Amino acid sequence: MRVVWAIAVKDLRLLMRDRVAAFFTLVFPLLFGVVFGLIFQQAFGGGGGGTPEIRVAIVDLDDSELSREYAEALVEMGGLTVVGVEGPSEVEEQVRRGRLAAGIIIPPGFGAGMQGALFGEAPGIEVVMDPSRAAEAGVLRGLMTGAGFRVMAGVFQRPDMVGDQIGRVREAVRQDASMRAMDRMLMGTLLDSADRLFGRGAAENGPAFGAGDRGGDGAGMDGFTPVRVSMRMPERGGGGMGGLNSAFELTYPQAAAWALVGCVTGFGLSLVGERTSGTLKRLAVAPVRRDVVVYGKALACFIAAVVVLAVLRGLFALPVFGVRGGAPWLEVVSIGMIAFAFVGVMMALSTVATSAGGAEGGVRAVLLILALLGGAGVPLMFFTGWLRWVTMGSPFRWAIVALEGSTWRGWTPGELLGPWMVLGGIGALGMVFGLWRFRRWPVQG
Amino acid sequence: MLSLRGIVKRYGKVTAVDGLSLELRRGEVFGLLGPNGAGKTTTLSIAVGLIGPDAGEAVLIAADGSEIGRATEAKVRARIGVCPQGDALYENLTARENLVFFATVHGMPKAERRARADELLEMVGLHERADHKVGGYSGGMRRRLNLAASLVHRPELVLLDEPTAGVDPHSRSAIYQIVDELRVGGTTVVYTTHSMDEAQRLCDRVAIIDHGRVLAVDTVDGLIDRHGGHAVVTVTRSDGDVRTETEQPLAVLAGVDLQSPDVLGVRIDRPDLESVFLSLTGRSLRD
Ligand SMILES: Nc1ncnc2c1ncn2[C@@H]1O[C@H](COP(=O)(O)OP(=O)(O)OP(=O)(O)O)[C@@H](O)[C@H]1O
Ligand SMILES: [Mg+2]
Repeated sequence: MRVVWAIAVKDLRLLMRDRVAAFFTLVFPLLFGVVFGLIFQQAFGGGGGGTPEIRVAIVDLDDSELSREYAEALVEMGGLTVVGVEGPSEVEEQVRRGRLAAGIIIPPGFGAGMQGALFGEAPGIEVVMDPSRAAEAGVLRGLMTGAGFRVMAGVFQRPDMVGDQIGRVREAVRQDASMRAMDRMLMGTLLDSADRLFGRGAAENGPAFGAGDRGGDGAGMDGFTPVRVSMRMPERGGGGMGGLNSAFELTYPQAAAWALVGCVTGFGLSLVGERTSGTLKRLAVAPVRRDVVVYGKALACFIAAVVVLAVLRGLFALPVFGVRGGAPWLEVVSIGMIAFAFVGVMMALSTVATSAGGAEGGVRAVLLILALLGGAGVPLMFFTGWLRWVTMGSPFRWAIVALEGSTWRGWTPGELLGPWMVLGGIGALGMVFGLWRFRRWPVQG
Repeated sequence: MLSLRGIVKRYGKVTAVDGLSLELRRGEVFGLLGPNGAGKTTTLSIAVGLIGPDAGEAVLIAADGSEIGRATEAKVRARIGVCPQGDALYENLTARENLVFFATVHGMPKAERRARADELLEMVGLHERADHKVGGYSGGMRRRLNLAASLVHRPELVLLDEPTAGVDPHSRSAIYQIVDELRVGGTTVVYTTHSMDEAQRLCDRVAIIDHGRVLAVDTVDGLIDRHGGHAVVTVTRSDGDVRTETEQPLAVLAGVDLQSPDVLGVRIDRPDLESVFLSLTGRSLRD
């Protein structure tokens, strides 16, 4: 027992002395638990009042009293973060680039249609939806229907509006010569009772929808709906229609991210291994610059990353997976930039720790957290609110964005330039930092 | 061949090498003999430019006595081979792949690499296991391959840091044989060890090092003559041992009545490197 205790004390002491190891044993799991707790809390609305905010833009092309009321009602439903945009084309653009989950376009004539919703065809609203946000589409549809009921309840509270409607229907019935007498009489009775009903105001028996209740599937009671929500995918940059062909279009970039984790871990640890195995000493006494060790690793890492990304791309392009491609040269550049970025990540991560043990733990743990934060685990669409900004700190996020953009999202070169530049920056910074650290590595011990 | 001039290296309060100077002659096997922590590895590391000294310099000297340069220069390193104290090999490569890789790093033309690897594998007795991964090698096999890896580029000067540490007798004699072959081939060898037997068996000259300083440099015989003291004649009698230190052990022996039933045994101990170390430091090397 004394020996066991002595060993335990020694190991604890060793752990405390190795600050990097201590970090990954104590701080890292804590961070992990907290960060992902936050993500899941936001994503699934569990506890603490956190609910997922869906980023949308509302474009009111009708600009009538009712359309404005509808937009307000929709915001009041909660659960949406409304972003201002210029017009329908910008909505299209932002959704396609994944900056908005959805763009809600209220068409001209919406207000008029709303007034007649109860008796005629409900007015339509167009939603441009990011295909990768299928989970949010249902929620949004429910919110929009709910807002429709609210506006309608408001309409019923204004007898002038309803009366006007009933009068219009009465007039239509009178003029319809083809209507049978029986029907004409029935309609008259119905309209009379409607007059009486709305004359007193219908708000007391208003719709059961309220804020927080978003279980709607689009149809209200008995298939009745105050608004017809039609969802479509944004137009593709290349011309054709966008939209998620299959779930693999989402998981392909994630698979690529994990492949990069493997690649960076492999080469990062082998760079650390040069030191632990003593082979760095041999290379240091060879008549070559010591840096060649790092250059060699970097090159190997780049090649491996390109090959692995290309193979994955090829596999996911198979009909079973159906991941659509973009312009080949865009895909090639994306893969190249990603590989470049992760060479930098590899160099920086594997050289940052001075102790070999710390380096090994560090490479694995930091990569894991970056990958998860970058959307390699929980898809990026679940990262809402401030977490969206956190994801931007992960190189994996930029890799995923670049891969989606250059494949099924059909981004233009101009749109891809942003992610490419970020990836290039990550690569360059990582390489400079890694080389700087490497030159300070002790060759001995 | 190699000139170490007033080298000093400190690690915090520890002075690992304390003003060490040595002149190595071309073609000799030179032993650095000292206990653990004497500063042997640090000295070698400075000699090949792996670490920078706080003071002093290590210069490679050409056969004509002119200075070639310091080990920080690539052209100097190209002439030196180093066998580190710990094995410095790629576990996941085979023996041959390791050697070919290091040959490549040393700029050996492609055509020669394989032949050189085969030659070395033969020399260290690993040709039968040449295509097995080093990860599966025994300690002794690794040490032999580690040695071979420092010879790929046919260096003029080879620095071996305790090449026999922790190896079985078979591998050890194989390593001794390699050192002998190197000597025959005219290679200058620096051989670091804390084993006197090894130093005595292999080295033309030996420097005795302690606390980062050179205590004495000479041939093994020279060291013993100068610092080893006298031979000791021990006569074991029934009432105990009688020890006599003498320059003429045989003369002392002649004075002993070997016929006497009182004399149970006689032993002559000639001085060795152990006695040299004892007389220089007041401590024993074996502890
Ligand atoms: N990187 C280092 N940091 C701190 N101290 C060191 C370092 N390297 C060596 N030393 C110290 O310098 C002294 C000499 O070490 P060195 O390794 O040169 O001895 P050595 O003669 O090779 O010993 P051994 O026979 O055990 O290999 C020792 O006291 C050691 O603790
Ligand atoms: Mg040593």
